Amino acid sequence: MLAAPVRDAPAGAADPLVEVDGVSVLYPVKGRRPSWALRDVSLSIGPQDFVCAVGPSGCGKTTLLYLIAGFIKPTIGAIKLNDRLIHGPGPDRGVVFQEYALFPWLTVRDNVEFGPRTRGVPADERARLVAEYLELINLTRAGDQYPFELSGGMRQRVAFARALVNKPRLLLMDEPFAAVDAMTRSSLQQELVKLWQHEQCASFFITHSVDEAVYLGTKVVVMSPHPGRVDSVIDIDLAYPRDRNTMPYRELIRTVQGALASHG
Amino acid sequence: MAKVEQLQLPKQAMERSRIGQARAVVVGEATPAERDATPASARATVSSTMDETEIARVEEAFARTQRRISQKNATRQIVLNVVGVAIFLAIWEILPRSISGLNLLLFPPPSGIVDALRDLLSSGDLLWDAAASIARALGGFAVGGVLGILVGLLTARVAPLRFMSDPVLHGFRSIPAIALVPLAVVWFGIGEMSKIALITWGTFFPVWINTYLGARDVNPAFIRSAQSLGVGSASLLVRVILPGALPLILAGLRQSLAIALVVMVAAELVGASVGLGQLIASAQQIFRIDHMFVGLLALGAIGFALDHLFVLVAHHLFPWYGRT
Repeated sequence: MLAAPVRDAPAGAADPLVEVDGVSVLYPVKGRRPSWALRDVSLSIGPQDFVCAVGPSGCGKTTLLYLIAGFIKPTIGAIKLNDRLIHGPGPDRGVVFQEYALFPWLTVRDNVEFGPRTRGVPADERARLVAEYLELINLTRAGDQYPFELSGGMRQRVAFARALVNKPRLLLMDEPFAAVDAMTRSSLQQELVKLWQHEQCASFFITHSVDEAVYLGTKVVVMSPHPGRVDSVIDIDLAYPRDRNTMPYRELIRTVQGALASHG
Repeated sequence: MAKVEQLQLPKQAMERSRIGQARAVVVGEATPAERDATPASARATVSSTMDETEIARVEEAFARTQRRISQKNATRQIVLNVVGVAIFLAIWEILPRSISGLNLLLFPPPSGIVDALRDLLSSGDLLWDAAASIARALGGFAVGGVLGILVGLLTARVAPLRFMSDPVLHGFRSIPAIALVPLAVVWFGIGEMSKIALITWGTFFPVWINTYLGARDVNPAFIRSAQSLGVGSASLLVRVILPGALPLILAGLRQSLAIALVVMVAAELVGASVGLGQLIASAQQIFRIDHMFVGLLALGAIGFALDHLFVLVAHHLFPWYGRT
């Protein structure tokens, strides 16, 4: 049914960074049978992968991200990072949320510095790191501003810097561009690709835009709801930066759309 | 009125800017293909219909008009404020005198109160009383506020503590502080101890309940962000929960500041050697209604000033407060 290859084991399967192995998550529902947010999901993410998860609401995308981040625990199954079970959230997995999750009581600089300060990085090293990452997102001059003074796109860039300054091995993103306008979104997508290439960390990105998934990802994970599950994993073998006006790009869009429709 | 205030631009400039706008619309609606067909020279004219000096002149005229309008509005507001106060004072001055048989000692007009105010100020009594009252109110407020924040944070984030303290705290919360005045007098006498204790009691609960709500409902994205940035649970409380709850904590503190004054007066009315409540109570015994008014006036002024000071300090310390 699928034009693109569907695989259980992705590239770099020799030593995947993240391994989600037969994971199910149940949520209690009052007065009824519990509901399956995820049922029997397996997935692995290689150290250089940019995995995008697409699917309609209720397919468990965010649940999957929260599992890997360590915010919730699986009811059944195991999630491993570098062959070790994940016990909770930690600075080796940076998270960028869909809503503005910057601390409104801290300036841009203090937001970015939050992680290094928490981990006890010495002050001079901290200052160097923060300057480097503000430079990387082109917001050096906004360091002393508070989040309420920034546009939506700028806030999300700060959120990226705040997560990346910890040098995580995996960057988790939960629809980070959902709340910004279309023009800002496309420039943020370009910047994200550059950041990912620069940082060389694995990425797991949730979206419900097929175009966004194909534009960003090395792999697209197609999910479907009731119960939440992974239907297929589609490789996107296109060079970066990607051009939306090419035949292979459009074909991959159709492939992902087809995969979504056949399971919806 | 507003129409007269409108911009007075040179007619020429107005017309030119209208032409510029019209062209800009045409270009904006053009499809990419059409735009490509438009010669570059034609497109360039859109931005060059006004030259630099003309742009500067229009901007300056605009800024001048805006300044004049806002100055005028500010002046009018102050004038109306003063007029309102003057009318109120005039009615108050005239009314007691115009009702025949009314004892001016029982219903003193503003002029009588000004005399009393001058007496009490020059004797130093008023300042002494006010200082004592403010010290009590702020002392109790500080103790009640700090306790309220601590207990609020702990009961919001430590589940066993919350369940153990819930019935007791909510039960006590329903008792008005003023009802405890007689008990406080029995336990602590009529000295400073009983007054501070009463004000602490009255100010604790609004701070506690607001801190509790604020800390319980901190945006989960803040907490998750902090955890994925490596924060531990103790540090989470101080660095995320506390500032995240701050908007509600400040609301609770502000409410408590007003309550501190109420409880302070209630405690002083029962018995005190110095204080604005004592000033009012003793004025009643010697029938100096004008002194009572001075006391009320001072209480009003102190409440107003403390509230404004609170808001000022809050915005100074937390520039992000109230902004999104």
